[in-house]
Amino acid sequence: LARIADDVINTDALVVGAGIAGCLAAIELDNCNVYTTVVSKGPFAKSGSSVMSTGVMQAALGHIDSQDNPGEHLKDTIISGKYLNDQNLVEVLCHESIPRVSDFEQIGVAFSRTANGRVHQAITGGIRFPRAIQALGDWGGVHIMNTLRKEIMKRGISVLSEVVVTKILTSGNTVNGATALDIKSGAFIVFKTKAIILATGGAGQVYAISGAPVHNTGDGYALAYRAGAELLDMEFVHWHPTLLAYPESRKGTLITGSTRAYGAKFFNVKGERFMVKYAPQYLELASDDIISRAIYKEILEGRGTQHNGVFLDCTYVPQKYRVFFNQTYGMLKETGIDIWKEPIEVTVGCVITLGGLRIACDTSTTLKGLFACGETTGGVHGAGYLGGNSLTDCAVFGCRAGKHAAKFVADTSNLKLNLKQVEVEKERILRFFGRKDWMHPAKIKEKLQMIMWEKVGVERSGNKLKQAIKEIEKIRTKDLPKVGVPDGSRRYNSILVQALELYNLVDVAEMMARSALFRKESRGSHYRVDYPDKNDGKWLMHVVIKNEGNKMKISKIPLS
Amino acid sequence: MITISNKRIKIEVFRYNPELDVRPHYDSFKVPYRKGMTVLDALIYIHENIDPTLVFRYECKVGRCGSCTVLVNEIPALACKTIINREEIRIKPLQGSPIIRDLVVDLSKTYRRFSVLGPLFKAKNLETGKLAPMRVPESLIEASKCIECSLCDNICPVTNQIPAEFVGPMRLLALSQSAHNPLNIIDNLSAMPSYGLHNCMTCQLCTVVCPMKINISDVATKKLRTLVGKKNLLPSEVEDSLAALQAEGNIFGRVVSEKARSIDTVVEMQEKAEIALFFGCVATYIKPEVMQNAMKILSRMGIKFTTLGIKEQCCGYPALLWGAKRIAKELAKRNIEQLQNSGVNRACVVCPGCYKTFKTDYPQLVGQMNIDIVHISELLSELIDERKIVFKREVRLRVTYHDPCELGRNFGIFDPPRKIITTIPGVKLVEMPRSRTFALCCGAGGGVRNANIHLALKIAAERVREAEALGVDAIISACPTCEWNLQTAIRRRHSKLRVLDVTELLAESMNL
Repeated sequence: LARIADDVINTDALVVGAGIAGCLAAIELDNCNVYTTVVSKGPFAKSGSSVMSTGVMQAALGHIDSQDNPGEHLKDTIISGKYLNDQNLVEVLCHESIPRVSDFEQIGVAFSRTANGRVHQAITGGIRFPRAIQALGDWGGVHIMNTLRKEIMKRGISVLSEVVVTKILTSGNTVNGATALDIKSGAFIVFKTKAIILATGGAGQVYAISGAPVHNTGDGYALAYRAGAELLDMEFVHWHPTLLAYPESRKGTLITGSTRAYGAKFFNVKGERFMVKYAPQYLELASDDIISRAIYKEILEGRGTQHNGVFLDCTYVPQKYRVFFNQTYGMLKETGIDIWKEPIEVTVGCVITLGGLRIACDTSTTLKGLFACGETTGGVHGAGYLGGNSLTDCAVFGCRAGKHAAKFVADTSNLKLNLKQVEVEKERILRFFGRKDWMHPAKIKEKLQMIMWEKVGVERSGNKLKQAIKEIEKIRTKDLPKVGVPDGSRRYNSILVQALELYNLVDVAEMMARSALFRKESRGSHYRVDYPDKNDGKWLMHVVIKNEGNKMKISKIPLS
Repeated sequence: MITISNKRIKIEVFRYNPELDVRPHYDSFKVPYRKGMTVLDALIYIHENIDPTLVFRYECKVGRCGSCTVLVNEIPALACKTIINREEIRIKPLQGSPIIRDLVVDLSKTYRRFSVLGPLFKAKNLETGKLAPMRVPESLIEASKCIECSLCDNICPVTNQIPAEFVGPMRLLALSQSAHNPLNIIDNLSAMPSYGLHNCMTCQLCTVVCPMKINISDVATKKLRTLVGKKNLLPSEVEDSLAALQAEGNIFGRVVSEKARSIDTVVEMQEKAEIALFFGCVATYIKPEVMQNAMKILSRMGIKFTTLGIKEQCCGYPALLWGAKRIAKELAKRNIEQLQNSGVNRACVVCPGCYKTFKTDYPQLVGQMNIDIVHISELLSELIDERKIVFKREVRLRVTYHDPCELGRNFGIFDPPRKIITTIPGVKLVEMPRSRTFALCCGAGGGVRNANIHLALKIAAERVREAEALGVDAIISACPTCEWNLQTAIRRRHSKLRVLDVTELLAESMNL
């Protein structure tokens, strides 16, 4: 092994991903005295979705309204999820969110309080009681991550920053290690471990317009899929109707829906207030699903703006309410755009991927020794996302993953690695070097994102999905073999990382397209023009996807 | 802002791959310009279209993660928050950390340096799952905005000069969070001297580069000093001057009669004054020539002014630097009362510290006052505009201007002193590399001259060297404290450089 790997690291538990879910899992493992190694693809505590979170978390503390309780939280979550949630997971989510809030406070994360010292809770979209709590800081996620970093450093937990895991190693149905690339030095690392916790976030980058950060490339989905784990409901994502389409530098940044509540209006490039056509009664205040589809249609039918968006005109917001949007104003003003003087270009985009690894309540996946938590998993959010539940998901299941992985580790001994697997993987990585006529992975990624946007987007149809699968297949066979890196240096070779990510994205894209084609109904964020209605009789079911002999095997299973 | 007429901009980027290159070099790229384009956009453009081997870090693209830190034209900045507004830009990696490749540096040491602070947080023992009622202090809310990008540390002159004696602004904010969290039972206050809290010059360079625009010297330095003061843990030099301040109304503990004499010898009090002159401690006791020149100039021009004479008290600035609000409030009350008694509605200060205190702190301490405050450089530049100043002779000097922190960075008063300097016949002004918003502190700011004279003179020497490199005859300042501190450093270096207050230069040209 020492001959193949530049570095061999022995650990009892390997946490892949160092966002909120991954950090909490590591802390819980440390509480259980399990020797843990955390791997972060980006700079530790400065990458992934967690730092981009606004720090809003749903937890039925009942501090503002004592009527609220975990049962009500569960109801709201399931209504948002269009009854497709795994209710056992939601049960855990809603009950354990309460102790997790105090866990956060115990390590120094502070949440907004009211004047009388209670936790401030607000009503947000889709909930019936004031429940959303808010971590301090302009960006609460940053405050949480900075606090978690200090806690992890204080405990002396080993964190490998800028290291990307490339493969999960298995022995039969059990995981026993992983290979990784140290981005900084280019070293090929092999981990020997008893348990792996995947907390790699989602795959927002599969779409061109995405609120997800640039490294959110579905690595966990792809790693687990290739290792043989089952994934659930990959056809569902959370669409947001107003992400910036322009300027380039702020593309994908979320514009709050309250601009519309205070009077902002949509127009297409012809100057038509198109919501009149799609929702004459509610107009800009129609549900996000309806607005998303309307915008999508306008753009696809050629009535979009120069930068593939529609106009959101905030100049209709009366002066006295403008103070609420100071942050949005400031963020655009520095790029030379004044939202009070000119319309901005927005478009619908993917913010969160809702599907993911199939887990039980103890976060175990269908592979032995493989655990998953946070956005990497499916089932919690069902077919539609309730804003603020994502942070709750990471907190609750991150902690659970740590606890249950610790139990697993205690009863497990190390397995011998299969050297063949390691060798094959090393070869796969080195193959990118020295390819002639190489293609930049960013160009192929762009192509893939376009296919996903047009054919696996807000409005889907059997035909478009079949085409998408064909085109993704073509990328896989024609383009991927040409992906290469321009220079021989393995040191901080960012194109090499992009190439590895692209392979993951292609797998994820295909899983999403196939799941979407398989589900012959419309539910939540999955809308099929050829099956426009919900069909509870046939489709109140999870769609499960799995790798069998390098083929995607797709099936449906009843809800638990 | 410069308008960019060109459709292409020139980006010079630092390149270095320690694995392949013997030494670093710069590559120059032409990038098509778009309105609102950021430095990060330009880098991504280069990477995807011109040179894919160029490497740099970025994640969120909207200023939250703080990973795209670089030097843009020598200034530490987030590439994603820096809008391109000139036709030529030079991008370098952050300084002080080992280079991994191109713009990517190894910041692990920077973040490991948090461990010098020891444990920052341990919560009160609460029943699991219970949330204690608490009030969240404003300082905690402000300090929690920090995204820990380390830009402030990168530009901080103190932590770069004496890293072992000052933990730097980023860690000071973490300490402020720790100290202001009501749930925390860890007390870091007694360790503050070892973290170098007294070494912060409150020069606010950190705030200039902070992407969240946190007023670090207020939220961290001054707040922490307040808490330290409450526990009687301030350095003894500081305790002494605060005591002097309370006893005699000035930080030097001089008796008032000396001050009164120095005013009386110059001019007689004018009746029906239109403006009151306020001198402050340093101009009164250390640099009386500043005070005298100010009075001579105004009286030559026939301006009816008055002073507070022996009744003038310290403005309270030093007390506020050390968080002694109570003392400052007492002084503020006395000064305001005197000013109101004098019947003027305009007051002119010669010291930027007084200026800041009158402008921003007095309204908070004692409420709104109906007196317009101007700095002497603003007043004199007004008089120049009105062509009321008559120059009698040429002053043949090549000079540079040192921006005082409070006047320049804090209030944006960059041009009035420069106008005075450049209007004087014979004077040639050259700028130091670090000027205006990015001017280096003289070293005396934040009470450092009082608390740590060695540091104050070290920084002053750095500033003097910067001026010497220009080959000028004199440094001109508009702050008696800057003048005092730079002068000391110059004397120690046996340098031939002169330091003059802008009023001295003007007085010379008016033959006063």
